[in-house]
Amino acid sequence: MPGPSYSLAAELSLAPFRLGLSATPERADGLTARLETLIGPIVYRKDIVELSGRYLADYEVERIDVELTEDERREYEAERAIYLEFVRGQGIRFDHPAGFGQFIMRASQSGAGQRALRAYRRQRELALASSAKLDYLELLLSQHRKQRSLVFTQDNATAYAVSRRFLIPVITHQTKIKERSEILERFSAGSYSAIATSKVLNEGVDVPDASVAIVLSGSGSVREHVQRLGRVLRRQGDKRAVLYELVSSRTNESGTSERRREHSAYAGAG
Amino acid sequence: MLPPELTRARKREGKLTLSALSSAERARACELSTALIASSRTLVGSDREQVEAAWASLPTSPKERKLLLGLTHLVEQHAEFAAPESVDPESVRRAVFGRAVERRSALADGEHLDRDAVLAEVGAEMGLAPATLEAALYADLRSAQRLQACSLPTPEALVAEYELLQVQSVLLRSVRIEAEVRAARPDAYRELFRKLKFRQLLHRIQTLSPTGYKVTIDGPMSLFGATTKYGLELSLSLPALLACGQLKLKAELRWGKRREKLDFELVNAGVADPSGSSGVRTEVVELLQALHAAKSPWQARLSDELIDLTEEGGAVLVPDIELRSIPMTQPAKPNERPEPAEGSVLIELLGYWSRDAVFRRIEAAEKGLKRKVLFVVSSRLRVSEELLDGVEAAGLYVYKGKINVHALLRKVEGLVSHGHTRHAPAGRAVRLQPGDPERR
Repeated sequence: MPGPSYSLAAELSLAPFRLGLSATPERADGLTARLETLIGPIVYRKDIVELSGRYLADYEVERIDVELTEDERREYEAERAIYLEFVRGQGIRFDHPAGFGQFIMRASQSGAGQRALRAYRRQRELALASSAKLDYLELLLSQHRKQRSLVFTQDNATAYAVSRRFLIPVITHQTKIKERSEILERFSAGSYSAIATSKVLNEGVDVPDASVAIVLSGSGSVREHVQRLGRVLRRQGDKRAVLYELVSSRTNESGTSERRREHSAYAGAG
Repeated sequence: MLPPELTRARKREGKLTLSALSSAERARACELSTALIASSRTLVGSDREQVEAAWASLPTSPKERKLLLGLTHLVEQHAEFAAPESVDPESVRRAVFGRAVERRSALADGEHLDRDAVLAEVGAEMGLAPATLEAALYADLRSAQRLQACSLPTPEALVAEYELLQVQSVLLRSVRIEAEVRAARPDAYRELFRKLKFRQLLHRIQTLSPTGYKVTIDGPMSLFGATTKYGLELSLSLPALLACGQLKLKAELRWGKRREKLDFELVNAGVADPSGSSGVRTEVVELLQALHAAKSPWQARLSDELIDLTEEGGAVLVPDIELRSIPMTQPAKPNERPEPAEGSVLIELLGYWSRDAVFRRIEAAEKGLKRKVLFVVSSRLRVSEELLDGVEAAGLYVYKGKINVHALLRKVEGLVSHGHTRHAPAGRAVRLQPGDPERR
């Protein structure tokens, strides 16, 4: 709702009284406070942890730190050094909201900048889809082969790579509606036990049978991370849900993981 | 079309300008085009990912990046990508993933899925080698498409297209365009007006004093929601505007994500029309063919006349077809065109144009026209033929679904049998012929 387009819906609305309902009011863009102007103050709040067990499935969250291989580590450090040298040299600050945009703009203006941009992408790619993470994913898929799992990735390329390597279906924005419905039906019927996806299953899709969420990679958004957890929380019998978060240790991803876990749903989780 | 960030546009004090390529930049653009064309030809058969990577890898300085991306965009438009021929990827996925689930659920604790065994098993059932099966798994993804062919122009022509594309991309974001054209050759007007109709653009034509025309066109952003199709039609009409010669174009834009209101001006950019062709609407061609096929005492041809009603406060009518009764009056000199005979009627096909356009014509016809004109209108525009009853120089033929040539010819006969117009005729009939010094 606080986004520039959606906020117009509230601003142009004639309704004098409004009631909003949200599972994830927290936003990464710092506009959370605007909700108060657009809708009003929070009048009732029930956290996921309070609903767990009664209205939502019981759940546990497990963060798994995996190491890069030696070659990956060497390349990661080298690429990161190139990228950081450029960022520091240019005086770009990533704690500023416009920091990243500034980096992209400056990177396009020189050869060194373009190299720094490539280095940024490569070090990120190494951290988000390391070979150790994929090996661990194989272990988890085998371990939970009798349950229904959702594998979340940060980008489509990784989702397709997971699909190719582990022979599990994938749903992205490129999946046609007919095939997407068929995959979800088969998942529900148990003909498929896992689905890989990047963002499209984050919200708005009801997959009550899913009990395992494996976050292979993601952004630093609390909202996204809570939504991903929400996919496996639909209560069904004595279902106990589990969310695994695979994080490449001693990389920038550790910080990203800390940021997205700043929510009561993850408080005290491993 | 190019996104705003890839155009050579600059904003300044509420105005948007396009910076033209300098001679050094044009030479560099030709070099890059040569390299792009050469690499595209060698990459026929490669997948999209490889082709795009090769295009992006051409060495450029950061300042040339935008130029390379713009030229690459054009080369991509000329390239033909298609999914590789394979068994239906969806059925391959269904079979492979289904089998993988079966094999995985049968695993003992600590065991891992034997991926190669699954592919070999399903491949054998489908009569495919495992590698072929694997390639077919996501053969329908965009990145897997293969470059089939590319019919690329010369590097110089590609650069000319790039320059034209700049203007087209800007006008795609226009609300309203006002173009003052002064053509060097009279039939350029005809080609322009025909093209505007062919592209079904919402436009109005007025004469300028002492020569030329002012064409006002509604831009894509004036519509309730900017439509790609309309924007594309507008872009395709631009070469005809530029081909007129002298051109002064003003456009009101909504630029960028924020739809910023900006003014754009273009004065005789000297950009050549790479296609150089003018179009005739399909329905006009079809009607001409039907008229030729109908056994009637009328000879049909594309009209080369304009009916200028601007002095009466109207616009310029651009009839599509001229029907002449046979025999016609012969010209006084052997090389001259025959003058309109008594039995000569102009036909304008309004098709699904706006209702307003029909009423503007009705109003003009009621004042009297110098030439006999039959307006052919779709019943979807909800107008009645009776609106022009009693008006001798003009008639309305309203058709439902498809034009009936015989009904149309009966209307033409009726118009001619009225004889001379009773009212003082309005409007100047202008015949545009190649070689005429200017329109009269």
